[in-house]
Amino acid sequence: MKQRTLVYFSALILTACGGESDTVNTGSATVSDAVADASAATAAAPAETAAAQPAEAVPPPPPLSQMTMPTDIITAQPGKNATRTALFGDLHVHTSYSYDAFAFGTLATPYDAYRYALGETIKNPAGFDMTIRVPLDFYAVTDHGEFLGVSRQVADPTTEISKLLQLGYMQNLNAPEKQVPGGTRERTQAFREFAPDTLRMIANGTVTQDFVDDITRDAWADTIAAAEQYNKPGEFTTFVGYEYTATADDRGNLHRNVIFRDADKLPAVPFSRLHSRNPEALWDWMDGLRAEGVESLAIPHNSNGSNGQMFKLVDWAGNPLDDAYADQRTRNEPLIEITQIKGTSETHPMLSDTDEWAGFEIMPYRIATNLFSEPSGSYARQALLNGMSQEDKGVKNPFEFGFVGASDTHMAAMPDDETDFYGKRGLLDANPQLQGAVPLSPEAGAQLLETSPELAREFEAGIYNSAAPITWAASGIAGVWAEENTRESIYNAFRRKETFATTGTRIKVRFFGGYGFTDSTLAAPDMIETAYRDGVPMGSDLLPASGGVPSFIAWATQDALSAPLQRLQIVKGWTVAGEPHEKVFDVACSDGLAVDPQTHRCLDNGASVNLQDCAISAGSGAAELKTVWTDPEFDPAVRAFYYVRVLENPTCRWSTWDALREGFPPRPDFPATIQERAYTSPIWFRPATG
Amino acid sequence: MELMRSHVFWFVALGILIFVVDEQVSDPLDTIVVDAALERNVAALWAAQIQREPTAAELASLVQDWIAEEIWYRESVLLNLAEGDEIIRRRMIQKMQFIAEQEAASTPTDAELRAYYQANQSRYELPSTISFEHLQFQSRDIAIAALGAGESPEAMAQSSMLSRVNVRQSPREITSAFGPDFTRSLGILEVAENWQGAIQSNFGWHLVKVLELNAPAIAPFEDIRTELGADYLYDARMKAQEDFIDQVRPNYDIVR
Repeated sequence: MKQRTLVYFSALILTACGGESDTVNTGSATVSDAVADASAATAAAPAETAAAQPAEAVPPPPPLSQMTMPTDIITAQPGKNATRTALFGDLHVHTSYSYDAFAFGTLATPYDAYRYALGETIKNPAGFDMTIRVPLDFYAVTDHGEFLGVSRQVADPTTEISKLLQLGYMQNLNAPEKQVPGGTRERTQAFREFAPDTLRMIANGTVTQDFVDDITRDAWADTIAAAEQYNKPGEFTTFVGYEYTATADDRGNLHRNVIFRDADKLPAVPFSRLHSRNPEALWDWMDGLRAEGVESLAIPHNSNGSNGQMFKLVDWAGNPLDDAYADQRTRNEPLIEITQIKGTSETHPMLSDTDEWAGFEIMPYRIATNLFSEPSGSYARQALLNGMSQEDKGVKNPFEFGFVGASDTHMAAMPDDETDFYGKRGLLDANPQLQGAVPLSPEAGAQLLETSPELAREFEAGIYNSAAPITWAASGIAGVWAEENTRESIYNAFRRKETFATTGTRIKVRFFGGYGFTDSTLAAPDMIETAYRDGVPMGSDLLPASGGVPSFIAWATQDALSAPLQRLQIVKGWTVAGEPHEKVFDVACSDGLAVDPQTHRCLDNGASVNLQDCAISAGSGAAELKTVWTDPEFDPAVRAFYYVRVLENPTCRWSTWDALREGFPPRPDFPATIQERAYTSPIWFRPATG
Repeated sequence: MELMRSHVFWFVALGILIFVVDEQVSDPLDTIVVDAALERNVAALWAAQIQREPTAAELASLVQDWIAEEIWYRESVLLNLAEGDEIIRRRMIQKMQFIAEQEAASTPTDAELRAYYQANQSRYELPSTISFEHLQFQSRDIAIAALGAGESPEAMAQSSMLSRVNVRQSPREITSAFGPDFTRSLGILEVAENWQGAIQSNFGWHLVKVLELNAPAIAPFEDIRTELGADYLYDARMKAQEDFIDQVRPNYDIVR
C-alpha cells in the first residue's frame, strides 16, 4: 500500500513540476472563487445561480468559474455545505501533562499533539517516528484534570515542587537514558503512587494545595494556548478539553472527557476527581458554567470497564433514577465513546447473544486493573434499552445518547493504523513483546512466569505477555456531519448527536429516518436535501405520522485505504411494557447478494485474508452500500431505537501484523482477523402518547 | 614421559598453580566501606519514602541492612548469577549504550542543526497537494453528457458522500477518500477553469475542476526546528552506537 501511494505521489510531483509558475500565482485566488461558487451553489438553485452570474467576457462560459472574489480573501476554505460534510477527529488525547502519560515516558506537549493530527511526524518516547495515516479534521487534547502538568514538574529536580515533595521515584523519570521500552519500578510507582503520595503531602502540609493548583493553572492555560494556536476555522478545529477521571469504590470506571465549545471564556481550573468522585457534581459544575455562558459537554468512555457502574439504574446516592436526573444527564452528556483502544462499549456477547458480531474487541477488565468487569450496566446498547424501559415506566430517559469513537492515546498521537499499532502507553507498549503479540524472549518469558504467572500464557511459540494490552484495539475515530470545519459547526453536530464512530478507518455513513423514502429518492441528485426535508438524521427523535410506517435511508462508503464494505446493518432495540428486545437486520449486502428474509442475513460474500501476508481477497466487497429500508416488524405503539452498523471485509488484526513481521504465527487465543466497522448515533421512534 | 602426556596430570598441575597464585594475590577478606557519603545516601532514600530524617538508631539499622544487602550482592557476583539473566543483560547493554552515546548527546549548535537540515532535506519534504472541486455521476455516459451540457452539469450529478470542494489535499488524503484510480487520474490533469473528466473513483464517475497544484516543498527550517533537534540527537545516538560496535567488534572472534 505504501509503495503504491509513493507511485501516485511521484506522478503528482511530475505534473506539479511541469506546471508554470503562473498557476501557482493564480492558484489561491482560483480556490477562493470555487469556495464562493460552492457556497452560492448550495445557497441557491442551480438555475438562479447561472442567472446571477455577472456578465463578463470569458470564453465558453462554465457558469461557476465566472464569479470574482475580492483579492484580499485568499485563504482557501471549503466553505459551508448546507447538506453537511463528514469530518473526522479525536476528542480523547493525552500528553505529558497527564501524570500517567508522563509515567509512561511521554514528553510530547499539546502543541506536538496538534502537529501530529495535522500530519506532522512526532517521536514515540522509545525514539521511533509516529505519523498519522491520514490527517484529521479536528482534535482535542484531554489531559487528566487532577494534577494536570504536576508530575512533569516533580520529575525535574530543579523545580521548587520537586524539592518539596522529594519523591525519589519521580526524579529524572524521563531522562534520556531512561527512555527505553518496558516498565520499571519507578514507572509503576509514578503511575500508582504519585497521586496518593502528593495528596498525602498536601494533607500533612509538606506542600500547600495552592502551590499545586498554581502548577495546574499554568498547565491548563498552556493547554488552552495550544488549542488556540492550532485552531484554523475552515481548515482544522481544536477544542479545549480535559478528562474527569473518577472511579467508583469497586474501581468501576466513571471517566468522562469534558469538551468546551469556545475558548474565549473558560474556568480557571478543571473540575477533577479531587473535587468530587460523583459525576453528578461534575454536571452541577457544568450547569453552573453554562449559566455564565460557558458551554460544554461531557463524553463518558470505557463504560465497558465500569463493572456496571456507568449505566446503573440508581444515582450516586443509590436512589432510583428520576426525571431530574435524566434531564441533567442528557443535558450534559449527549454522546458516549463506543469504541477506543481499550475496547468496544457497544455490546457484549453475554448481553446480545443473537448478534454474531457482538464479540468484537472485547476488553474484559476494569480500567487500569486486571479485575473482571461485569458486562451488565457497562454497554451502550443495553443502556439505550434500559433508558426506553424507564420511559415505559413513566420516567424520563437518562440514556438518550449518540456515539463517537476516540483513541485515548497517552502519547499525543492517535494511532490509526492497524498495520502498525504501538498501543497507547508509550514505553510500556513500545514493542510487540510488551504488547503480547509475539512471545517474550525465553529468559524474559521464564521470568514473567515466575513473578506474575497470571499475566503469562504459554503457547507453542513461547510465553506471551497476557496483561491487558493484547485485548486492546487499534481504534477509533469520531465522525461528525457538519456544515463547515469550525468549532461552532462541529460542536452543534455533537449537540444534535449527528455523529458516528469508526474503529479506526475512515468509513463514512449517513442515516435518515422519515416517511415516504423510496428507491427513487436514493437515485435523485437532491437525495440528501430530500432526506433532511422529509426526515431526521442520526441522533434525532422520529415522531409518528398517522398510519405511516417509517422508512430509513442508510448509506455507507469505504475508506479506500482499507478493505471494502461487506454488509450494512440496522440494529433495532425496542421495549414492550419495559421489557427489552433487540435484533440485528442486514439491510444491504456487497457483491449483489441478497438478504435472506428469514434470517435477515446477507449471504456469505466469500471475502478472506491470507494469513501468510495479510493480503485481502480481491473481487469481493463494495465501495458503497446504500438502501432504503422499512422495518418489517414495525409496531406504531412500540418505542424503538435504530442505528446503523456497517462492516468491512475482514482484515488482519494489529497483533497478526506484528506476529508476521517478527516471523511468528498469530497468537492462537485472539482472532487473527477483525472486521473494521462504523456505528451511527441512533434514531429513536417515539409512539404517540395516550 | 607417560605422566607428561596425561591430561589428568596437566589438569591437576594447573589447578595447583592457579590455587597458589590466587592465595598470594587476593586479600583474605573482601572490604565493604561504610563512609559518610554512603550514610547520606541511605538516609536520603529513607527520607524520600518516609518523609522525615532517620534517627541515629534508625540510620544504624539502615546501614546494617545495607551491609547485609551488599554481602548478598557480592556473593551472587562470586557465583556468577548474572550469567544468563536476561534482565541484567538488558540493563548492562543499556548502560553501555548510554556511555557510548554520551558524546553524541549534547544539544546541537544552530550551525550544526542547519548543516543537518541541509544534508537531510528529503526527510522534511511536504507532499504535493491539489485543490479541486468535483461532481459525481452515476455513469461515465451521464458525466460526459453533463460536460457537454455546459450550463449546469450539477443538475445531472448525484448525491455524493465526498466533499465537493477539497482544499490542499495530499495524494494520500485523496486516495483515502476517492480511491487510488481517481488519485492517479487527477494527477495528470492541469489547472483549468473548466470542468474536466470524466474520471473514475471507487464510487462512480466525476467531473473535476483543478483549482490549484502545489509542488512538493521542503519544510522551512524555522517551522521544524524542534523536530530537527530531536532527529539530530536520535541520529547522533544511533551513529555513536554503530561507531562503538565498529570499533570494538575486531576485539571479538565470532565462532560459529
